[in-house]
Amino acid sequence: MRWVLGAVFLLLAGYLLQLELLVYAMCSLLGVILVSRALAFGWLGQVSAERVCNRARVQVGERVAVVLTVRNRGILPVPWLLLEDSLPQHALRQRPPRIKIEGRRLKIVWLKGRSEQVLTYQPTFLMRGYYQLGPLLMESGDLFGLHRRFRLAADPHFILVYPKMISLDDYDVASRRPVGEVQLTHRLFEDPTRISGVRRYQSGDPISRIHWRASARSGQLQSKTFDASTVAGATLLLDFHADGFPETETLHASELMITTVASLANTLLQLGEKCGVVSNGRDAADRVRVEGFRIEFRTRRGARTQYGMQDRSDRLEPVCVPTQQGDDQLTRILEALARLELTDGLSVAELLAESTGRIPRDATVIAVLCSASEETAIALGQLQRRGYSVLVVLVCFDDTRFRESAGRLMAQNLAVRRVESDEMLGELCRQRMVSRV
Amino acid sequence: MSQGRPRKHRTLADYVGTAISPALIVGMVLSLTLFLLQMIYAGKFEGGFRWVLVWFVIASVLITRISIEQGSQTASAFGTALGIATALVTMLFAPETKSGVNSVAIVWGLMVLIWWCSSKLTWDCTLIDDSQDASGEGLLEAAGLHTVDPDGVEEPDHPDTGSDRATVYATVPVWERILFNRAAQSSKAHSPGMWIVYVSLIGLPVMGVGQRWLEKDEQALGFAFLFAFVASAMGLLLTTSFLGLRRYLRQRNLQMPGNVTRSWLITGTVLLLGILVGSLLVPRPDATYSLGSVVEWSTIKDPLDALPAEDAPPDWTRDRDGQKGAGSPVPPSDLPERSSRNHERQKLPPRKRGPQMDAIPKDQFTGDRLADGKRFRDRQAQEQRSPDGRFAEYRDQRSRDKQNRNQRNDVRENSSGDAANQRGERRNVADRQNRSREPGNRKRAGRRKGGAQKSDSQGGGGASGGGSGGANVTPPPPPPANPLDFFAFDGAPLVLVAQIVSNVLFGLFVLFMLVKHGRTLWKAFLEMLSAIKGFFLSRRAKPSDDASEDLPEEAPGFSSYSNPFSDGTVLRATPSEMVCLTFEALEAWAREVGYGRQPDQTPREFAASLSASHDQESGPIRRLATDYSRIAYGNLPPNEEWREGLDRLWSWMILSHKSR
Repeated sequence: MRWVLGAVFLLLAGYLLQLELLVYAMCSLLGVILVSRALAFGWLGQVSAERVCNRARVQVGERVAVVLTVRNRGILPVPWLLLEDSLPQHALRQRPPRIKIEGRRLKIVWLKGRSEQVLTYQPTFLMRGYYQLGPLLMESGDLFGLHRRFRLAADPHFILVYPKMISLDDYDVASRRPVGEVQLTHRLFEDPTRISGVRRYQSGDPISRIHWRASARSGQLQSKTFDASTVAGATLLLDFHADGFPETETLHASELMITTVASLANTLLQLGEKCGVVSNGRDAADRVRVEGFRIEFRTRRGARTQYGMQDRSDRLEPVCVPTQQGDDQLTRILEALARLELTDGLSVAELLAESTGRIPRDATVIAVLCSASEETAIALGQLQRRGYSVLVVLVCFDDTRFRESAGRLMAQNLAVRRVESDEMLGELCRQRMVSRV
Repeated sequence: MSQGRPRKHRTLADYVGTAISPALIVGMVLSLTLFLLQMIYAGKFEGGFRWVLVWFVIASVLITRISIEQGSQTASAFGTALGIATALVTMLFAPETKSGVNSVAIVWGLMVLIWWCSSKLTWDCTLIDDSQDASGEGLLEAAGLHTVDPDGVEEPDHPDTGSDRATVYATVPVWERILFNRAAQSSKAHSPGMWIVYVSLIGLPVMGVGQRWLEKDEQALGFAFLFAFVASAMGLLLTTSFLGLRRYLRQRNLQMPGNVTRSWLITGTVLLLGILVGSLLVPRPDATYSLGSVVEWSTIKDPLDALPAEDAPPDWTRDRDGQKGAGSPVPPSDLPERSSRNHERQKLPPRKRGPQMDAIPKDQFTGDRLADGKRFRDRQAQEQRSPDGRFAEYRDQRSRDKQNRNQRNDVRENSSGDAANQRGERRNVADRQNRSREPGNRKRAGRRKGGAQKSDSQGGGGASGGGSGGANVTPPPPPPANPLDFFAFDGAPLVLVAQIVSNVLFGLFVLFMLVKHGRTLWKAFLEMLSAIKGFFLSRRAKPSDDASEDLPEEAPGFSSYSNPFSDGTVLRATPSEMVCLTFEALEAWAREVGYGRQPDQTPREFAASLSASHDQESGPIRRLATDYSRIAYGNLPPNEEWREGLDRLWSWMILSHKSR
C-alpha cells in the first residue's frame, strides 16, 4: 500500500508542478494497480461453490462420487479460474496409494456471468482411513499477473473407510481360550437381567428381589438370585507407536495389525462376548481443523497449509473403546480403528500405566504388537502378574526380529502368537502358541 | 494419478507469446531510451543518434535471446562487437548535453542502461522455463510490494512452507533486489515479469519528472514516448502473465482451453486499452492530448483553416495543403526560412513559439499541442526526405538555435539592471499570453470582451511584433495564474460537456476511493511516515552502535501511571482493564525498587517473590496476580472481590515511590 500511496503523492506533485507526463504516468500506474487488484479480488469474490458427495462411510475398495458445482454469481465474466479440490497429499503420494482418482479434480475454467461449471471425480479408497475431501481451492488473478488470489469454498467432506476384516473361522475358544470365558475372580456386581435361580427369602432382601410367582406357588417368600454381570471377553491392546515399526514395514505391518484387531473384535462380538480396544495411536479426527480458518490467501502455499487436516496432533490421550458388549460395539471399534494413525506419543508401558484402570480385569488382554522392546515386555509381564490374562500377537515379517521380541516376551511368561499375513490371521487360533504358561 | 499421464507441452499460443515479448521489450526500452535522449541530448545528430540507438536496443534484445538459446559465450562475442561499434559511432556523433557538458560518458551510460534493461527484461520475460517451479504468487506479492491481505491482516508464515527463504527475501529492500539481483541470490522461485515491475517503477517517475528538462515543443514527443512505454509495459505484463500462467498449468499437467485463452486475450486487451485511454481522460495540467482536444479535433474539420495564411507557419500550411491534397509540399528551400521562423519564435521565452498562435481564433483550439506534434512529424519527414545537405543545414540551424538559446539564457541570468527587467517583463507578458492559450485559460480568454476575434487581432499584432521582436505590443491584462487552471473549460459546448463528464467521473472515482479505502490509505500513510522516520532515525543511530537494535523496548516507569481511583479511571474501566492496569503498574513499580519480574516468572511466581519482600501487601499482590492470570491465560473475568485492597495497593505503591 505504501507504493500506492507513493504513486498518489507523485500524482499530486505532478498536478502541483504542472507536470503532465508525471500525472499521466502515475495515473497509468495507479490504474493498472487498482484495476488489477479490484478485478483479482472481485472475480473470486463473486464465485461460490457447492459440494455433493454420495457417501460418508465406505469399505475398502469402494468408490465415492464427488460433484462440485461452481457458480459465478456476478455479471462480470471471470477470464480464468483454476479449481482444485484438495485431497490428502500423503494419501496420494504414498506407494501404494491410499486413494485412486478417476476424473479430474483439477480444472481451469472460464466462467461467464451468472453461469456455472461442474467438476466431477470419483475417488476409490484402497486403504482404511479418515479422509478429508475438499475444500475446493479456487485460484484466480488479474490478467497482468500482479495479484494472485486463492479462495477456499465448498466445505470439506470426510470419508471414513472401515478397516478390512477377516473371518476367523477356525477360532477355537474352548481348546485354547486365548479369549472367551474365564473363571471369575471377583464377583463385584450382579446382573438383574440374568436370573440364575431362586432361594428362600432372607431378612434384608429388597422387595424388588422377591420372586412373586414362586412365592405364590410355594406359599413362602422366595428371592431371586442373579449371575454376576462380568462376562469374559477381550481387551485388544494395539501398539501404534512409530518407534515400534521398522521403516520398511511400517505401512504393511500397521495395516495388518489393524486388520488383526478388527478381525478379533468381530469374532468376539459375534460370539456374544465383550470386546474393547485400547491404543496409543493417534485419532485422525483430532487433526481435523476446527479453528483458525481463513478463506482468502495470497499464495497457494499459504492456502495449502490451511485447508487440509493438520499434520500433527499433540494429544497424548489413548484411543479407548470401553470393553463391553452391544450391537453397535463393533461399529465403534471399527470407526476407532479406521481413524487410528501412528504416533510418537505414549509407549506401551506408558499406555498401560495410563489405561490399566479402564481395562476390565476378567477380560483377556490381547496385545497386538509389531515388535516388543524390553520395556514393553516388562510392562506386559507386570500386567499379567497383576492378575490379567495376557496374550501377545506379534505382527512381524522378519524372523530375526520376531525371535528377539518373542524371546523377551517369553521371558515374562507371556503367550505369543505370530501373524505374518492375512492367511495366517485366519488361522490365528489354530496355531500352537509359542509359549503358554 | 497424474504421473501416469504424459506431460503437457508448449503449443502455438506459447510460441506466439514468446515471439511477441521481445518486440514489446524493444518498445519499452526504446521509448525509455529515446525519452532520456530527448532529455539530455542537444547535439546536431539527434535523428542519427536515435537511429543508432533503435538498432542498438533491438540488437541487445536479440543478443540476449542468443545468450538464452545458445549460451553466453556466443552472445558475448556479438555483444562485444556491437558495444564497440556503437561506442565508436556515439563518439562520432559528438554528443552534447543540454547542460553544455560534452559527455561521451553519459551516452555510454545510456548504452549500459539499455543493455542492462534489455538483458534483464529479456531473461525475465522470454525465458519461461518449464523445469522451474512457478511461484504461484502475484508479481507484487513476489516483489514484496504488497504484503497485506484484504482484511489488512498479514498472512502468517508457516514454518513448513519454506517461509524462511521468503522471509529473507522480504527483508531485502527492493532497490537492493533490483541493483544486486538479490532475488536470484535468495533462491526464490522465479516470477516472470518481475523486472517489468521494477523497470516501470523506475521508468515512470523518471519520465514523468523528466518533463522538466524537455523543451515545450518536445513535450508532445515526450508524451508519445511515455505512452509507448506504458503501452509496451502493459502489453509485456499481459504477455508474460499469459505465458507464466500457461507454464503454471503445464506444471500441473493442465492445458489452457481455447475459450480461456480467448477470454484472456480479449479481456486483457480491453483492459489495456481501457487503462491507456482512461488515463487520458483524467484531467491533466497542460494536457497534450485530452478528452477536450479529442472532441474538438473530431468536431472541427481542420483547425488551421481559420488561420490567416500570412500568419500560418510554413510547415502548417504545408500540412494543411497536404491534408487537403490540393497544395504542394513545402519546397526544401523553405527549410531555412522555417528554421529562422522557429528561431524567431524561440526568442520569446519561455514557450519559444511564435506568437502567431495568438492570431488563432479562440475556437481554433488545437493549438500548439496538435501543431507541435505535426510540426515534429513534418520535421522528421522532412529530415528523411532531404537527400542533400539541407538535412545537415537544418540540423546545424537547429543546433545553433539551441546554442543561442542557451547563451541567451546565460546572458539573461547574468545580466542585471533595466535590460533584464525589461526582458523579464516581456517574458512575463509573453508567458501570460501563452498561458492564456492553454486549455485552462482558453475559457477565460473566450469570456473576455471582444471575443475571440478581438483577442486574435491583438494577438496577431503581437505575433507579428513578436516575430520581429515586437516588444511594443501591450496585451490585455492577463488573468492570474492558477495551478488548477486545467480544470477550466473551453467555450465549445461539446468540449464543455466532455470535460465536465471526465472531470465529474474523475472526481467520483477519487471520492469513491477515499470513502472505500480511506482508512487503509490513512494507515498506509502513517506506515510510510513511520518508515521514513525509522529510516532517518536508523541512519542517525548507525554510528553509535548496531547492537542497540537488540535492546528490548523500554518499559514505562511507574511515574507514568496515575492512581485510577483518584483520576476517575475506575468509573470508566472494566474490572479486567483495572486489574491489568494495576498489574502493569505493579511490574513497573517492582522494576524501580529492584524486584522486577524476570522473563521466566509467571504472574503468581512474581507475586510470591514480591510478597516475600513486602509482607504487608502480600494479600492484595497475590490476589492481583491471581486475577491477572485468570484474565490473561484463562480469558475469564477477575474474581468478584477483585477490588478488595486494590485501592490500598495503589496508595501504597505511590507513597512508596514518592518516598524513594
